[in-house]
This record gives sequence, structure tokens and C-alpha cells, in this order.
Amino acid sequence: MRTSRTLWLLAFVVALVALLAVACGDDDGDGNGGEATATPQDVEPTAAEPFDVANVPGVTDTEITLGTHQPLSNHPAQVFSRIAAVTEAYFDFINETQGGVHGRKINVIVKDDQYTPSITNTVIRELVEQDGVFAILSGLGTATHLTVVDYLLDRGVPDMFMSTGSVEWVKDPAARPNVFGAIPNYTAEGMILAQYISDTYPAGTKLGIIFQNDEFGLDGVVGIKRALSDDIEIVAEESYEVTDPDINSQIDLTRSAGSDVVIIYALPSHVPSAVRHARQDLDWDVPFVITGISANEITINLAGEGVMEGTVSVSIFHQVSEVEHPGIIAHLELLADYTDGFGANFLTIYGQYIGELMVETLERAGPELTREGLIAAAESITDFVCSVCLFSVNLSATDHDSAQTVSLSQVVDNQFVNFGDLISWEGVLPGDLTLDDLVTSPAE
Amino acid sequence: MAAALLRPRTLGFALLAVVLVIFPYLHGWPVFSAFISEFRTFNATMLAVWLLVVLSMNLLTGYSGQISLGHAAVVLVGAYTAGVLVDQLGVPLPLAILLAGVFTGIAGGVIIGLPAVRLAGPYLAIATFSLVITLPQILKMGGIRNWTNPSRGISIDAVQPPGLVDGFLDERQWLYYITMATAVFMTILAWNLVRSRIGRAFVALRDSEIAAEQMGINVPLYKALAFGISSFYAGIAGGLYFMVLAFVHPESLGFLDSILFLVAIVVGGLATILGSIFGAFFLTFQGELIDELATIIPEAEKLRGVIYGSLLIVVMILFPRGMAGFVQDLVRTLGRITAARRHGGLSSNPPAQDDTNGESDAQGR
Repeated sequence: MRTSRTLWLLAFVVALVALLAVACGDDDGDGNGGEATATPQDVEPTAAEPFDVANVPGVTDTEITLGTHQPLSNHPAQVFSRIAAVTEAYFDFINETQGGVHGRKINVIVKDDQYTPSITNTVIRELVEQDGVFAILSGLGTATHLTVVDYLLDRGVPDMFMSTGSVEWVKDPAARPNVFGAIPNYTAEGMILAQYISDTYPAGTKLGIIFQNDEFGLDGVVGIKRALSDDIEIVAEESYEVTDPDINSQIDLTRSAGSDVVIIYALPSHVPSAVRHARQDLDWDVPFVITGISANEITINLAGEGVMEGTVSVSIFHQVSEVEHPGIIAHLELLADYTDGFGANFLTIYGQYIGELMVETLERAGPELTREGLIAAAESITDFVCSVCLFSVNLSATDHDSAQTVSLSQVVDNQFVNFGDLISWEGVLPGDLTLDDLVTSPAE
Repeated sequence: MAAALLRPRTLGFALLAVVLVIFPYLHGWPVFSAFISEFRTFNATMLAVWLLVVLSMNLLTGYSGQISLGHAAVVLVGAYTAGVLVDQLGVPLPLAILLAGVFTGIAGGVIIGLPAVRLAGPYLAIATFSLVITLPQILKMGGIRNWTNPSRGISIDAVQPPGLVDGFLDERQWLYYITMATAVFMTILAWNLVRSRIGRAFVALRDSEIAAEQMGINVPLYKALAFGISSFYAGIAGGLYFMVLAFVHPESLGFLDSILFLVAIVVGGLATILGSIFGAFFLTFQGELIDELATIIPEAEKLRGVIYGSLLIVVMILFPRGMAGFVQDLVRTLGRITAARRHGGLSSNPPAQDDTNGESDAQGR
């Protein structure tokens, strides 16, 4: 027993001595070895200093390195895993045809976070501290991205065009100047869907709501309640957890509550089986209204032929069904030339939109690329319409919400088709948004 | 005395201590900076947190034989307790972490430990699994919503080093030192615990409850105690998790993490401290390893679940005592070979083995 105690004492003394030595050594070495230990903030060039590409993490004279966290495994991967691959394909296209942006080729490191926040934490630090990326592009998922958003702010890393419509990010650009949204925020979307229900169905209609019990679902419900006419009665509000395998019992509950219309705020992993359960198991022909997150061709295919028919949602892009549209034609060519033969769907279009938006931002940031410059460039974007978009991106120092215009869409012959006017709330942040702010304009 | 200092074991611990102390500076040193980046400091910090989690799992499953599939929930309770204490009540963070450990320990001992007396084997596993499913919903309930802030989670400013060492250390290095120091201290505590009366009682419980009872062990008490101590470790780990990430959310740790913890203790080695350390390495680096694998085998990263599952099966069949058992066997075989050579082929005098440390209790169950 005595030896063991001596051992620990020895270990402790050694530790103490080493700590002192190291601490002093570092102090001395700060003058010459400071660069190796300096954090990225320390080496950001200030306005007064001349531009030196060596001081900007992730940027060289020939390359820009971006990073992102995406679910490539675990259950949402079946739906979401191709978004980043299409963004990469678009960058490959730009690199090959235009030699990149301002002579720099764009390179994205895609890290799999398995849609699990504890892993997102690790991969984002790996991207920032080990791979030294210039910016994070379109990190996907609300709960996952939440865990890193403050870290990115703390480290001064631009958090560009994230793939979540959570209200939290974009409601206060002053508090989070490095964060930019990419998709309509869920509250605005909920208001537009509720307005559609109020306009379409007669007074006395009973509405059932099914929502994911997190920020995604709750933001949507806030929007629904804000815009729903008094003539429509909410008879059921059923929540589920993202870890639940399906939401069939929530469908049963909304049915037994006597719903005439059901609105679903759920991920594409839950919506198809829910609609199929209603149609095929219950033989219930209730109209469904779903969040734009789930409004894509994968959902239709997973549900099965004809099952999703008539379902209403929102869209910010031209649909794959518009085969004559030049943007869609170009998109199909991109998929054919730069991917392993991906089939086009709403999410591949989304991947291209992220790529186009980022390229536009980099173009505006100019050849002297810095992180501050990138954020300023993004804030300067006005009237930018991507090749597949229905809307124009307008950003400013007080508005970091990129997509503020949607169209309604509906499943017709197993494809989503846009219908009606464009509905826009340009420049209004989700916290203040009311029905009066929604402006309609005819679609082209 | 001098001879004792030069024993390989002593030298090994001394070397380990030095490495642990200088580690966060290595990425700035000339040669090391080529293969160690700043990110490794964060890795090492998380390694310390995972070490406590794996130790906590191992005390419960490895030593006392009670399978928990809900350990992520217990760690999350610790993280959330620390979060609420700091955010709502303004408790200083170190105290909040300690209180989180105590609270989680008591809650674990009473809420899980007492029912566990009546549940065994797979029933206990299912009951604990329900914890990890229900906890996010509990955290989102109306009554405590204002405290837990489930939609945004609880975030705090990153911990800054105190004035005394400010200048020597940046915040990441400071985080590393306090987390690693806590982990090392609690590992030593666990080392002693499993060799004490309590540790022996846990092992007796695991091997046969009836026999343990016959030997005069108070079975319900020790079962609850196992959950209590394990939850205390998990609670401290949770508190540190919150401190390191400065953030906690109801979905921060979920059932996938729970499964990973179980894989980690089996791969590392059940019922050994060394195994817990290997398990912590597994938890910290598995993601990166699988990403590396994907550069050799295309799309391997999409088969993570398959890899975890097959790893579990392979380890159970080939190395029932995990990596720790494998390493110990290797060391023992090498020792025997050297001894045989020294004694001119007479293997009748094998080197003394440190069997007092209970490592050989592992049955790889």
C-alpha cells in the first residue's frame, strides 16, 4: 500500500513541475511561436491592415475551403443526405467552367453528424480547429445546429444559409451577426398555411394539428394560431418526439377528435407513413396540409403511388414537374454531369440553390476575401434570383432571412405543382409578422 | 525505494502524468504541430467527459451486472441540473457541477435504484431505456418549461480561466485542465472503490444475487447504491459536458448516445478501469475512425449502425474481455516469454501478477 501512495505522490509532483515548466515555456515562446497557438480571431486582419490571404482561415490564392454538418447516416439521412452532394456538384461545375470564384476553387468538407447534437459539436470543432474552414455552409437540423451556433459566433466563423427555418436564428441579426437563414422560417410558413385553410374551408371547419415537439414544430404552431381565422376551430393538437418511429397514433387521435382538415409539422421521415395510415388503414379521405420541409418527391414515393394526392404545402422553387423551365432543365443537366445519376427532387434543387447563393456571396465579397467581408457581402445581396427560385433574395444588416416569399403547392399526379399567387413578407422578421404583412403578387 | 521508482509501472504513470499535463500545448510545438492540431485539445477534453460516463456505466453494468440502456438520460439530467442551477439560480459553475452530481446520484439511486431491486436483466434494460425516451418530453412539460427552456436550450458564456493563470492558459486549455483533473481524480476514486468492500459486494451481486445474500450482503441496499454511485459519476460527467460545450438542450443526448455508451464499455472491457479508458477513447474517436474508413471503403460512413453492431458481436466472440482484456493478455504473454528466457526456459516461475486489482474479475458478460 505504501508504494502505491508514493506512486501517486510522485505522479503529482511530476505533474506540478511539468505544469510550471510548460506554463513558463509558453510565456517565453509567445514572441516567436505565437502564430501556432493563436486563435483565428487573433489573426483576423483589421481594416487598417493590408489584406494578406495567409491571415484568413480556409482561404488560399487558389482555394476556398468550406465545411458543413449533414446527416449522412441515421434515419433522416435517407431523405437529406443528397443535399450537400448536389451543392458540391454545383461547386464542381463552377470550378470547372469558371475556374471558381475570383480565381479560387470552392471546396466543401461534408461531415456526418448522424443528426445527433453531441456529434455535431465534435465535427464542427474538427472543421473549425483542425480543417480550418473559412465558413460553415448550410448546416442541417434545428437541434443539431443549435448546439454549435454560439460556438461559431464565439469563434467568428460565418454561419451561412443554414438548413433550418427555426425562428431563433434570424429574429435578431444584431445578436447573431454571423448567421444567415436559407429557407422560410417556420412561423411565416405556418401563417401562410393557416391563411390558406381559412380561405379555402367554410366556417365551422374543424382543424387537427400534428407537430414535432421541438422548435421546428412549435414555431409552426405559433404561426398557425397567429393566422387562423376565428371561424376555424382547432379540435386536436397532437405532438410527437422526433425519435418516435411513426405518428400513426396522432393520426388516430385527430380523427377521433372529428378533424375536417389535418395540418402536419413533421419531417419527411414521418409524413409518408402518416398519410398512408390515414388513407389505407383508416380509409379516411381528410385533406392534409403539410410543412414545406416534407413537401418533396421523396415523401410522395415513400407514401406510395397516389397516396399523397391533393396534399397542400408551400414551395420556394420551381418544381421538378415544370420540365420546360430553363432552370429545371439546367438542374437536370447538372445532376447528370456532376453526380452519380441522382434523380431530381425538391431537395436536389435546394442543394443547387445553396450553391448558387454561396457563389453569389463570394462573388460580391471580392478578391480580398475575409470573414467580415463575406458577411458584409451577404448583407449586400438584393434582388438575387437563383436559376430555380420563385423568389428574390434580399438581405441587409437587419434582415438575415433569405427566403421570404413562397408559393402554395399541391400534389397532382404524384408530383408537386405550384399554384396561386406568390406570398411574400419581405423584410419583416418573424417575431413581428402579422397577416397584414403578407403581400400577394401574381406568379410569373 | 529507488528501485520502486524505476519500476515500469511507476515510470508509466509518471509518463502519463507528463503527457496529460503538456498535451494542450503540444499543437504549438514545432515537431508535434505537424500531426496534432488545436482541435485535439477539445478531443482530449471530451475524452475526459466520456471517461466519466464510461466509468459510470462500467460501475453499474460491468461491476454490479445491471444493464442500463438509459444512461444518456442520466448524463442529460446532470447536464440540465448544472444548466438550470447556473442559468436560473446563479450558482457558480463548479458548485453547480458538484450539486448536479449529488442530485443525479440521489435521483438515480431512488428513482431507478429502488425499482431496479425488483427488476432484473432485460426488464431492467427496458425500464432504463424508457428513461431516455421520456426524458426529453419531461423536460418539455409545461410546469418546468420556463426553467429548462426546451426550444432554445440553456447556453452560457464560455468559461474563462481565472485571473491567476490567465495569460498562461487560453480558455480551451483551462477547460481541458479542470475537466481532465476531475476525470483523473474520479478515476482514482473509482479504482479504490472497486477494491473496497462496496466494490466486492457489487461483484458478488453480479455473479449471483442468491450467493451474495447468503454471504450477508444487503442486496436491495447495494443495488440502489450501485445506481446511486453510477448516477453520481454520470451527473458529474453531465455537469462537465455542459461546462465544456456551454450548452444543453433536451435532445443533446439521446438514445443513440445510450447505445454508443454500451458499445463503448463492451469494446473497452467490462469491469475494468483500463477498459473504461479504452471505452472513452472509442467514444471520442469512433466518428473520425469511421470517416477514415470511408476513404478506403466507399460509403462506409453510411453503415455506422452496422459497424457498431458487428463490432459488438466480434468483440464479444473474440475478445470477451474487450480491448483491456486483450492488452492484459498480451502483456502477460510477453512477461511470460521474457521470464522464460531469463530462467532458461523454466516457466515454473511466472512473474508476479497484480491480481489484487480485481481486473481479473471480468467475465466479459
